[in-house]
Amino acid sequence: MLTDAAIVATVREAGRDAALAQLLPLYRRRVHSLAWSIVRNPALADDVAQEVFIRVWRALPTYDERARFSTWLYAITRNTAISALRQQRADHATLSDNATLEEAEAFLAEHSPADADGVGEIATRRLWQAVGTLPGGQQQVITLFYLQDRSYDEVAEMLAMPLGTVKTLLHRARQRLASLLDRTDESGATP
Amino acid sequence: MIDLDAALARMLAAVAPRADFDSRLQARLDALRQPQAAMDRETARRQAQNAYQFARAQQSRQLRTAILAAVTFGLAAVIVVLVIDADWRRVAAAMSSGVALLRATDLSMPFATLTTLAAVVLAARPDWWSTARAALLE
Repeated sequence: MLTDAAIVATVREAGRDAALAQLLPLYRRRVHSLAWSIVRNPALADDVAQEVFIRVWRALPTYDERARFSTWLYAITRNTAISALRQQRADHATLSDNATLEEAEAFLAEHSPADADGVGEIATRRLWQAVGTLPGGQQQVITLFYLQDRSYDEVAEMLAMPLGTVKTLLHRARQRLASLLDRTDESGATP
Repeated sequence: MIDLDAALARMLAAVAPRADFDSRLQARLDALRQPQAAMDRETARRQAQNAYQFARAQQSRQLRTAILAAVTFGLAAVIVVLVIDADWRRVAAAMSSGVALLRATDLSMPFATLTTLAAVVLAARPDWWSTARAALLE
């Protein structure tokens, strides 16, 4: 793992391009996951992640280890994702959020392995819809938790939340999802 | 009943940056690099110019303070010599001690001037100090 001091030294000695080349493999997926958990749209998450690395590239010469690099990076990611989401809502004022959700739903259904563990396209859609009904914080925590190899610490750092809050939100989200899915199982409802 | 943990992990496994993420980022950075280099040069030029102007301003401020101090002390010395008819050598000695004090300490100009003047007067006319002391002791 690249230390914060090593990042500063690389920027100073080899330039920000070299530093970014070292940072990309370490943080590409994390930044993308965090962006996805906020915007919940594959194309927009990709754009946000690109924008984040461009901002980081611009700001790297001013990074001075006062804050941990990962904390700094995740703060940039959250801000960029929230701005992108606001911009998107302003641009498509006539469209509802359902358009974004449907896009994400279609993406997940298309890319998830069919019928593995009994989770086929329909089940994926149902699960995604259930996740979509969770309150904002629970939705974000449960998405990030599974995107980040189930690491509580990583999720807490990414969202700048206390570890206890992450655990509580995750517990509530799981409970609510289980009850939502049980309910749709009983009623035999399909989307 | 589905295994929620497995289902969520499997569902989100597809969420990843696009395969061409790095090459697209590289292309965007290449496009930015030229204007950014020009901007960096401009920033460096402005910083150097600001530092030069700051140094010049500080230099002229110091010069003004030195001239003001010299004029003030010169006038004070002349006044003391003429008004209280003091020995100019004593006044000069007290003045130079006052200037040395002013240089050695960080007193403000008016306070330093007053202190030095008081010292000069006492040095020039020690008889005043003796009279005042005697009056206080009586």
